[in-house]
Amino acid sequence: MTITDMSIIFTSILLEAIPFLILGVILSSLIQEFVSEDTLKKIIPKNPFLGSLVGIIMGFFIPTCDCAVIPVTRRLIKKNVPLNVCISFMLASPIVNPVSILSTVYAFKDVKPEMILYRVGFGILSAFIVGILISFVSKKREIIDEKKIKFNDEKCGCGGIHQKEDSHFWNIVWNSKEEFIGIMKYLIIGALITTIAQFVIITTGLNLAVNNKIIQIIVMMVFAYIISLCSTADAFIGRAFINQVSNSSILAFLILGPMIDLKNTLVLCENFKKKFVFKLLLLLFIVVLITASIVGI
Amino acid sequence: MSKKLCIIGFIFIIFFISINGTINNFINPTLVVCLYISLPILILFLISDFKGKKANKNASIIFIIPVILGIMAMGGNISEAYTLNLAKQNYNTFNINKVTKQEILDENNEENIQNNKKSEQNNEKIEETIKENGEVINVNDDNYMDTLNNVYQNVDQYIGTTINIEGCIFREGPEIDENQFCAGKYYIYCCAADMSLVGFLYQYNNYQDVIDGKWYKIQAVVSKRESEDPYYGKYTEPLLMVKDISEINKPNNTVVYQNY
Repeated sequence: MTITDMSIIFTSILLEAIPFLILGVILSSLIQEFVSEDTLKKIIPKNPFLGSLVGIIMGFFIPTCDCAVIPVTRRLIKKNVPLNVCISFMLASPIVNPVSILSTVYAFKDVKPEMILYRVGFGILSAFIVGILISFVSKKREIIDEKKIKFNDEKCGCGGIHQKEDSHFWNIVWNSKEEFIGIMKYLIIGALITTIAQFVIITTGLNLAVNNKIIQIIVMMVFAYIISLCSTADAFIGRAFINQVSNSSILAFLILGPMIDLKNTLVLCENFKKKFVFKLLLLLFIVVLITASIVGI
Repeated sequence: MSKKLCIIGFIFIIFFISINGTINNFINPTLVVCLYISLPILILFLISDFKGKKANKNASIIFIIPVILGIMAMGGNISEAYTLNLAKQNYNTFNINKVTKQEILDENNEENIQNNKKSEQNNEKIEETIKENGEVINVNDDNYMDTLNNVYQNVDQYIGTTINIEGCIFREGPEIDENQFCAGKYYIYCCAADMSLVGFLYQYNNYQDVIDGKWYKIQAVVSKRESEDPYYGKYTEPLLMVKDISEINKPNNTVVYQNY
């Protein structure tokens, strides 16, 4: 293993992430430019349970990967969309992504087809539950780190001085560029840590199989968190663990991986407060652990 | 660090890796298309930065890291040492049906010793009776994964078929016997971070001449072996009998993809 190998892995993670991150920041800027708070208030029900459901349905219509969904979520929170809706959307979107579902179908159709339904179904359920719970334990003022954002225009938050003649197009480009640069910094750090962690796991030949069912699930969840693969690759890597670890732990790996990982945690920290990110992580781990344990397939 | 320089850095990495012709060693071809679509958007970002709006702060110096590592990675040539470790860890395998060798390798278990003898005899019988059917498949990068899939899923239809293929040797795994080895290429799902070594299982009498981590051109005839898995029970998998094998230089392209 050489530094060149690590460079290749690191660069490949970034090259894969760049297009999706650009997609996410453009979507976020489009929402900022064209979707008003009043419109969102009309669409989203006040009932928290219905609201989370709407958040999940939004994930079907705005299917993004785990990189792209964060800037969109942050924009929705700034537009005063209820937190449970935003978080349910953020967690569900990478799971209900058509490419992610297709990759799960392809990976498991011949060996364990029910895993396809479990991944999507229990992934949506976990997103729903975490969305509801996080809204009880966090207030909006605890979420966005105001110190990191210097507003020139409170409504926009792009960090730039607006000219009267600015068109929608250049506002969107500017907003997208500022968000892209802001998020990329943390993506770079996350990709670096992920690369090093992968190398440690591979070169030490770490054996992930343990006898205790619950600890096995936790091990696979931590593994999913550290290796930070995209939701498409998760499906194939998960399949490779059949016969080595329990099916419950593979399910936990498949659900947690798309929702959150080491790389995205750092991206979340870019504009959300660390206390909120920690609460979200904790809730997510607990809910996925309980879900996978109960399923007990 | 100026944000303009950051964006220029990303454009530089994408542009020069593409010119180098090694972009497919980093990411799936479908994602390469997405990356190329992103290039004009990055240029738009650069233009917007020149348009006169003032930003509150410059970008972090950390953006120099992707440029430095991108230059080091430009060749896209991942080492065999890395992929062999990957294969050894059973991180990925093409055949998801694994054989647990605990029972089979237990020297004190008389029944398993008898079963092993029978298995060896069966393998010998297969080797003696295997007849070439005259069909030949020349495996290249374009049909690599399709060929692998087809032969694994329809073994009986391919018995006797001669396959010409290239691959990197690895042979540490619970399902690989002493006179057997695997040879494969690097399969990428999305990006190099999820890379695996995929290929066929071969049987070769002069197995000691074959070296782990080296690249070989192999001509082999498709046979099969019966294996057993605690979860799936008995199953059949292709076992290729080597007719001819010769060492080659590492190919320029070592990465294969699934055709969807």
